[in-house]
Amino acid sequence: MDDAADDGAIKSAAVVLIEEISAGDVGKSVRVTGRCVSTSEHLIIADGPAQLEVIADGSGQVRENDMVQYIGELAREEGEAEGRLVLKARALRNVDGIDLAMYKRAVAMRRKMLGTQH
Amino acid sequence: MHRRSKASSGSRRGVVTAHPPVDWPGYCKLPISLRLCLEKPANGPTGSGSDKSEILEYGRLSTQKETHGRALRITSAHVQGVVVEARPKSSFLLVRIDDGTGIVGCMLWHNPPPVSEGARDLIECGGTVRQKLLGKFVSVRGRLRRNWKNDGEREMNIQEIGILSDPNAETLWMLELCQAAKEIARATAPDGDPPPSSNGDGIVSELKEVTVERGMARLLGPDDEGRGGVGEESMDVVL
Repeated sequence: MDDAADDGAIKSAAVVLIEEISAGDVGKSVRVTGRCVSTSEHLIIADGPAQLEVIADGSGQVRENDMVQYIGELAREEGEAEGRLVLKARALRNVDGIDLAMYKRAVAMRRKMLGTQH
Repeated sequence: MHRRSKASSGSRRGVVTAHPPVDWPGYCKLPISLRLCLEKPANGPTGSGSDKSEILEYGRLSTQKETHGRALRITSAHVQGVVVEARPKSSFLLVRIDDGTGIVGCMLWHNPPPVSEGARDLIECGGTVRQKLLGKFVSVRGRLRRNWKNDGEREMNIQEIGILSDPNAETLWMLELCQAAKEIARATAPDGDPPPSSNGDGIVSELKEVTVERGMARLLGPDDEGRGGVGEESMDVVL
């Protein structure tokens, strides 16, 4: 009988805020939410003052001012040993219309319930 | 708002695109990483089960002999999360769902054919199912199983699956889970109130009362400025 175990493992992506991402998070799988502020040269999403560059296939699906969620892995910007972190995305979700403030509070509540940082 | 579900699901559409699905009584809401099991125990609150059965205490795994207090066994679950993988296989459709606390592999078997129209539509998508599902926030109901080829990892056999297009559906889900977790923890605490009946019926019926409407009324009441939201005071009450 087939079952689900014969595929490569996909890591669970912790829900994090862009402002919470730090240099020590390289390699971690995360899910971030933000508004797309730039699609011209680089795809950049922002949550308040915090911004994150996203490397994604099919980034043409996203337009400026779209509220989006990306799931992916954090990596160093290519060519720079101590460069800033970028998100290598593997899934995109359009969340236009989300109440971001309530979403953040729900995330905080869940973290408190689970006793976790993320 | 939300409608209470009917007992029969035979005529209910599986794909919900406009509103979060109705509450499914008898199905325990699970954030994927929390390992809880709920079923009517055969004898007493902790049940006897078979030699291979496991009773999972809130938050951790324990064998039946080591269990103390009142543990709940769950065989059916209702989970919500983002689809991170959707892959048609020879005899089933594999959907991996990530809710931020863990990943669960869910299988939609071709045979017997699913009852819900939406689930059948997903099977008929074939190779295009990945574009249809990847990145979508879905609600899944199904029976839990163990994959003993993969260290007993939990998986689900999908009975119903629905795409939730409302961007705030996940927020509501997280709040509902906090509510459900509080109810379960209270019901199973060793020093808490004893269950109303020895065979666990009281615990099951108590959890069935945690409806979407109740969660919405308690958790999403208006704030001082009349906007919907969860105030700090409300959060303290919930937790």
